[in-house]
Amino acid sequence: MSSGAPNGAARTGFATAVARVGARWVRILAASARMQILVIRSHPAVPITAVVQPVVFYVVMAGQHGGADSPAQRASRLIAILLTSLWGATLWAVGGILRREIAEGTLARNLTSLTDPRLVVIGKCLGSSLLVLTTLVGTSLVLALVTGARVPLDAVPWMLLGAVLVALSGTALGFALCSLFVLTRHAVHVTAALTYPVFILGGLLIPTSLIPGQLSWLSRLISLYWADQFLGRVAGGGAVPLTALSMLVLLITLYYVTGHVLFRRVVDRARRKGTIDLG
Amino acid sequence: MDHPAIEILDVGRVFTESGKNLVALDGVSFTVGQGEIVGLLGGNGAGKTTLTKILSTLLLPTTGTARVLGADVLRDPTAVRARQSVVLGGDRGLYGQLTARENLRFFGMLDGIAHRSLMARLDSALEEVGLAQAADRRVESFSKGMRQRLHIAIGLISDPRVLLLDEPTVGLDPVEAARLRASVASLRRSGVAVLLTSHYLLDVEELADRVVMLDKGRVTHEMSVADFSASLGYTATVVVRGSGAAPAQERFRPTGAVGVRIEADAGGWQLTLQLPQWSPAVLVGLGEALGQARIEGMEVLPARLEDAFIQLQAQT
Repeated sequence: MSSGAPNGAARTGFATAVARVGARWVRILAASARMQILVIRSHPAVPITAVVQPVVFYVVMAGQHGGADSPAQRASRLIAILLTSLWGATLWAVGGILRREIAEGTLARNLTSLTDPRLVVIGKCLGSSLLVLTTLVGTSLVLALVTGARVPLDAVPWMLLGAVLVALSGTALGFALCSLFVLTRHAVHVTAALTYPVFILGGLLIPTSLIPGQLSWLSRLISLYWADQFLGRVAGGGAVPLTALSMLVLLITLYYVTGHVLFRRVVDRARRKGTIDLG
Repeated sequence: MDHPAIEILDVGRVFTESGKNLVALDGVSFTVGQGEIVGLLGGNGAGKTTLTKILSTLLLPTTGTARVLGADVLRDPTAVRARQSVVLGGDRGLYGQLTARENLRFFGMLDGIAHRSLMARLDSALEEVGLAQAADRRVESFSKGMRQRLHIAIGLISDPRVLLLDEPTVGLDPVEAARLRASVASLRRSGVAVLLTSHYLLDVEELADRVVMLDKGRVTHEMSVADFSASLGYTATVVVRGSGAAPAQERFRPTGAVGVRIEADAGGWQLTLQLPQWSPAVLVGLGEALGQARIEGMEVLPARLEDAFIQLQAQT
């Protein structure tokens, strides 16, 4: 019994240390996210991908339906447009993050520090995702007001959860992609190869029922497919699709793990081959 | 156990490019004691940057061992990073969209400095490098010298026990460079060991205790700065300009000069003497040797480390 107090003190000390590290990580993530927002906020690609593109998509799709659809269907269509635009914007906004860190010499500085440099890269991906998603949500809200798209009030908390997961998905995908783009010499081609297949396989441009059976399993590996399933169902007032929610969380985790592995490869290769310059 | 600040044992590094092996470092060994400042010298491609990269944990050695205060760069890079700081210098390595204060705070956070302590030190750290007035300006608007000073503030904010300084005075004006050298000299007094890589030999001359010279990836010379200067064989160069008939070269042998050169000049002559030491007795001897020659001017130049570097490099 006499060892209870020291154990308790040790636990409190440990908890304090963990809290301190956690607070420092949050500060680093926030600072990195802010830095990335400062970099891309005035770039013309932001209004193009997050304002012009979704409006054009909506006008094209609305023309096909001739205004005969319900408010819930309009909301569902808006969600698909939001996710489509988000994917295009994500590729643009996060793809070059790590390359830029290397080119500007800041990755070398971060690698020689005591903090895992992945934190900075993830923070920057988060900044990109937040800026793009916030702009897209703003555009979608305006479109919803103009077109009369509606979601049930009790779906709003689930929609917010969906938005958070979509932001995390964009961050995780961005983390994996920006590492991949450093490892490959063909980043531009990879970007081009990923853009439309994800639109199509994710069921964002066409219904997944039109995708050939042999390829439909690929849809299940795309987080935006599950985000669309989840958000579309709750926006339509249906029961919360727990499978879609679980798959979304699972795929976000998978993308993060992939990002960690790829980033590790970037750093290991740099340390073996000397590809990251000092200053 | 009292470890050397930096211990480099038989370190080698080979790069493979298009199937060919390029030896950047070959069996390099030397140590830097705690509180010691060592200048790492060498021409382009000598291996200085490769060695600095290995010590900063950005590059793996192919062979050998490198340790910082006992921590191995290969086995325990985190401990190495905790004990040392790297001042990379140059235009890069800073976030241009952030202010000087934000950069310093960000890199301080990455170095694991506690939030309160970091916030308390920001102003004084910027003040020390003369950036207090520009603390809230974005770094993208900074001159090269200002960026260099910010690099130094970032390198020092974590109170490292070992500092790798790569070309610290590049881009600084003479006043700033002198201030920086004073700051580095004060680090020695607080026990910080510094490995200084610089093409400006004035930095090395004023700061370093010892010099390690690299050439083609190998250590060619390792000696104290005094020995390095003495390796020239003279401590001063005397240049005398005169008109009329030039004195005979053999008259200057009694001065002990290790080098005597008399050149015809426009309307006169110029005598250059390299002397092992410069003293009143040597001055008297020089006066006697010059005899009745008509003297137009004279200057005494202390031997420069640069001369020693050029001479030693030529020998290797």
